[in-house]
Amino acid sequence: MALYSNIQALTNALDIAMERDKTIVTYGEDVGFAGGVFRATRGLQKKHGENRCFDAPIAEASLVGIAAGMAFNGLRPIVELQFQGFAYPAFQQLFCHIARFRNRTRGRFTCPMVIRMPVNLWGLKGLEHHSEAIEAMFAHAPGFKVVIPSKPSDVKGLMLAAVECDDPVIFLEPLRNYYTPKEEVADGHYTIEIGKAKQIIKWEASDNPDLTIVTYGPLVYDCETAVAKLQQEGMKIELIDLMTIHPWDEATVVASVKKTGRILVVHEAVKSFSVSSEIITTINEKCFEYLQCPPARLTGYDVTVPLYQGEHWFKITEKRIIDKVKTMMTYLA
Amino acid sequence: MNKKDTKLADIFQYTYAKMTPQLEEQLAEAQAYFAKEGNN
Repeated sequence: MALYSNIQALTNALDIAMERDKTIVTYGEDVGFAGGVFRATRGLQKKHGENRCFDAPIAEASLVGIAAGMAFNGLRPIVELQFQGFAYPAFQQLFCHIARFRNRTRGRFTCPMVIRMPVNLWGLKGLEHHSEAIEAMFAHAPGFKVVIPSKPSDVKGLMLAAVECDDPVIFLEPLRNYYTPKEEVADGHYTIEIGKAKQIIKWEASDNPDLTIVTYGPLVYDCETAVAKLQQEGMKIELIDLMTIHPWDEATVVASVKKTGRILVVHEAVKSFSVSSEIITTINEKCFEYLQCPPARLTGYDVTVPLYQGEHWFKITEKRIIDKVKTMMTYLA
Repeated sequence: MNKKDTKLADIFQYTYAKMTPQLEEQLAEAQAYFAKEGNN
């Protein structure tokens, strides 16, 4: 075991993957010599050579398009985009080709690759395109798998699963949690199944739990502290870290809501046509007769995220989560 | 300019020439919440 941050767990996973599979290459802006803008690939060029870990021009469409060519020809590229907002120039390659290449060739060819990018709607205090949460766009395109681990041990296991996946994987990394907190991470190779959520707090049905919170990415930590405080007040909350957005773990969420009768979905991305839209629709379809109050969500607003002077309005804080839960618990009371 | 000087309503106004019904509702809900609970 080793005490790792998310970024250290990522580096460890990439190192193990490159050691095991010589067809894996990783590249992006400053990824080679400097080890990436956030140092996720630190030391990999020195260990695995300049042909397998290298710098690329500031041209995201090319970065991703080249990865498609590599994948078609037997390599397994891992591409780093410095920020999620920088993925926009690569949309044509991602959506018109990479996501649908298996379908286009009637299953004869596949396009295995991992596209890594940090996500965060607030907290960076960056310029435009540095604070984005567009996971629903990727989830909406058939062909991609979309993962967003929040904790170091999950980062490692899901990255190793992603590089071994035969489909293109969009790997989203919560930027606020790159360096803290740390946790013990198992040594060596292991994978976590893509498509499985992690139930962080679970109650028995006989305990009559009150409410299910479903979240992912950076807000997992805020939800954890909120749930701890609510528990001190006597509330029994189940907390689910989705970890994979597409395909999402419907079975785990449905089972939880059938126990609690209440669901709150928390994410940073805009509200309309979002991950919460999909989850709540499914809950209405499959758990309607179990619900004790309308499904609710705490999300970003349907606007372009403001520059840093307005970021504070977008923060989904522990207090806002607690207040929302309490409002739900008093529905028709 | 202090960061608190950026008003929530200003941010909502800039995305569309005229706010959508969904945005009107989200703004009203947010303003009511922050008026009651404050914003840290």
